[in-house]
Amino acid sequence: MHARSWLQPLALVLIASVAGSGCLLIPEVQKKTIDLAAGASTTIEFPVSGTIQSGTLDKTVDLTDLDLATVLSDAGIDVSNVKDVKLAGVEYRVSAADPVPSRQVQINDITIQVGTQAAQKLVASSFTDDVSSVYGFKLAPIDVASSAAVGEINGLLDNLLDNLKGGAPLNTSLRCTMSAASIPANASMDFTLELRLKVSVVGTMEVTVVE
Amino acid sequence: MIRFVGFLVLLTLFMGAVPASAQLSANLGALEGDNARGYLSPLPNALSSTMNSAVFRTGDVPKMKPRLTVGVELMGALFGDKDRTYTPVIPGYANTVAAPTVVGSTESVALPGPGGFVLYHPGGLDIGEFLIAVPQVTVGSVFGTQAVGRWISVDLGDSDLGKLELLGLGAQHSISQYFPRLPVALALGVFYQTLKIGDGLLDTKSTHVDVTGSRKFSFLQPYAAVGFDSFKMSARYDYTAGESDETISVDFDRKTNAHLTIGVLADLPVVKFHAELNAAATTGAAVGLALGF
Repeated sequence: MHARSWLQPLALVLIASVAGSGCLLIPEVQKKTIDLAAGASTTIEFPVSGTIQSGTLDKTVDLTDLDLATVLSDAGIDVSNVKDVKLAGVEYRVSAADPVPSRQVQINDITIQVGTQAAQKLVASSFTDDVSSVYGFKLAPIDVASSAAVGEINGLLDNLLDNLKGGAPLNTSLRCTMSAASIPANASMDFTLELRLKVSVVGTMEVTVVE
Repeated sequence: MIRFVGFLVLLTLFMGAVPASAQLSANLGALEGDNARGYLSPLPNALSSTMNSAVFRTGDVPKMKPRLTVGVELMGALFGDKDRTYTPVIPGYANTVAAPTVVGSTESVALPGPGGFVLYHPGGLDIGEFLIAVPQVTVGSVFGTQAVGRWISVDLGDSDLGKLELLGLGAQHSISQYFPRLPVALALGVFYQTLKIGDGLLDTKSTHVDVTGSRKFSFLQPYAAVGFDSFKMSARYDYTAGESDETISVDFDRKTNAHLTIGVLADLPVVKFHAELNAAATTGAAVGLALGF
């Protein structure tokens, strides 16, 4: 076959293949609604000075400290487009070390209480860690029993979201208590333990893409 | 000519390579380093394949002859199903879930954790293909060598498309000038490119080397090329899920792969049109239109 006789069909096939590759190469501008995810956290500080006693590690925290409005704004999510907000983790760290080497704290449990009459609910239990050095956040040992506490906190997060949307003010505060003991026992300690609540939020945003 | 340049400007605004970089940056902000790598995992192959396409479209580089063409190249690559999800790893979370990558479903995915925790993973842009359009200039030829350059810099402000800058420079040197009896025209080409999206959000560098062979049949010039691509990508973003924002840099492993091309060039006196298929890091296609001589 003469070269030119097969070349033109071949060229057409090639061009058709390029054009037909799933409509590739035909740009189209589209508006899409896409789920964005963002994270936020609030840290509860427990300074310890002296012996650890009942009430030493006891704090009330307001989840407005999460500054969810700023988190959403930075992520480009309008508050009206938030689909959900949930507790994603509980972590702890020592942010100021005890000057005496080899000191430890034994955490028997961490509980939360929403409302003064409500029962305390377990968040995490039974861990021991060094307080003589500063370290980054570690995961608190969470088990199945903590799901009730997580549910309570998620309820407060829902309240927080409703408040941001301009609803009637709802409670967003909780009491966090750690039952703990020093190692060695009854030692006079000087350190700061921090507990961090991590929150995951998801919302929608309209974007422009070209494909 | 002015109309043609206007067309080029319009066409080059269709930069599929920059799918909503503002949104991309926001979504990355919720991901720690390794998961950001998973979220962006389809991009290196797609970028490598598209950026390294439609660079050289002939093996015929005259030894000494004025040549100047100005045009636009539109390159695309398809994403496969495997590109649409990845498996994020979250410390303390025993469960796993298939979360969308940047090109996957627009729907977020909730990963259940211990004790009722939930961590949301962002949705993707739900795109099936990846397109780059870029103006390209070819100038030659001296001692059997011609230069090729492509460049575009667009700043679409606060829009979702963001800022993009692509620069590519390279040259093609005739091999067939040393072997005049070859049945096809052969040329060796080298091309280096950088692509930057957002202010450091994505930063890529790529090198393409190939040998292109072509033969003229009237105005049609089929061509084929065998070569390789080397591609490096890094991402930098603000991780916003922590107590305070921190800038995270994610480096992707360098990718090196073979690059095969078949195409046809319609080499008319003033208008040059070409279409080609590429088998590289991903399969893709490209078309180009240029004016010149």
